[in-house]
Amino acid sequence: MIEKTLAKRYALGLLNTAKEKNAIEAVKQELDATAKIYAGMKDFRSVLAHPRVPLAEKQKLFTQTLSGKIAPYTMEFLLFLLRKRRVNLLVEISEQFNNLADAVQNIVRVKVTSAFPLTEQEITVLKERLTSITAKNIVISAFTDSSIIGGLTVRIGDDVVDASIAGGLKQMREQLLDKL
Amino acid sequence: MTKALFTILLTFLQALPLFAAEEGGGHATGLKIPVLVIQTVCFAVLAYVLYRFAWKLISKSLDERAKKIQDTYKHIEDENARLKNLIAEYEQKFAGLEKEAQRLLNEAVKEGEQTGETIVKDANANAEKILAKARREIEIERDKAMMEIREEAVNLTMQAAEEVLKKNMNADMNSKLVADFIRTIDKVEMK
Repeated sequence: MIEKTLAKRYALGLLNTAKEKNAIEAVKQELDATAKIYAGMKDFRSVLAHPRVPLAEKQKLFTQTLSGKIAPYTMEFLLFLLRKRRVNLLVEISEQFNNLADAVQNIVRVKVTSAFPLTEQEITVLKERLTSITAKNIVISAFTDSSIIGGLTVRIGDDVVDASIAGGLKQMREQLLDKL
Repeated sequence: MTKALFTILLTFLQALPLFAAEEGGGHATGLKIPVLVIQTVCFAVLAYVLYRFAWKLISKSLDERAKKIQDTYKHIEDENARLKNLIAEYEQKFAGLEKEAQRLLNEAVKEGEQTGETIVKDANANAEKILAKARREIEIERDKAMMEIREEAVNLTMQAAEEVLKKNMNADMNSKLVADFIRTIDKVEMK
């Protein structure tokens, strides 16, 4: 909980900088990519967390790995985290930054799961409909899951709309059991 | 006392012919007067000495013996009387005991009957409870079995429906479902 609060503070600081630079989207992508590298490379994490590795070496590792690939203010933020010994919060900070950025940009992320891959047109129409209903910028992530048989499920934040055949069958089963 | 002395004298006189026979002479009857006199005198002296010194002790002993025997008789009589009284008393008590025993028996029988009634009553109540419990359990089991049958029937139906839908589902049909959903999205309920 404390880590989450701390991560949110760091994320908010970075977001303010990104807003000033008008580069929220770019920072979001860079931070996301760095968090993925950090989470996926165990050795990289071990070196950054090791107390006997000097700070200068850790900073050098960061700059050598990421220099030229991320914006200077994103790099500066990462080095700041190293100095504060909070680099372990990088993944959480990335998630918090995404949430804050979405809120600033009025973005709502929607996860759509369908039994068959959706066409571009279907995704576009769905996005338009959701935009008109929510009055938000909708970002759709589409997935395929054959176990739902047909139709689709839509997750918006914590809300779920189940318009799948599997969901319908489940609902029908419950109704039949209730009536019998 | 006199009687006793007379008895002793008679015994002595009877023994005289024996003495004469032992002497072996004298008269045709065997009786020698001087010997008889001497013996009589000796006997008298002996009798006197006995009477003077031993008789009292013997008499006292005999009296004591007689008294003891009398006491014994008296004691036996007393004991007899006491035993008779005791027997009478016990007979009376036994008569009372018989009544008491009968009363206790009657009470026991009555109590037994009451206990029996209570036992029967309790047994009936318990039997009712057991029956009621058994009925409830049967009902529960029946409901459970019915529920399982229903669930099984529903599951089989749903499985069959799922199989049919899977078999018949294709991209076109899915697109139709997606289009229906998009058209009615503002009416759907979020969970």
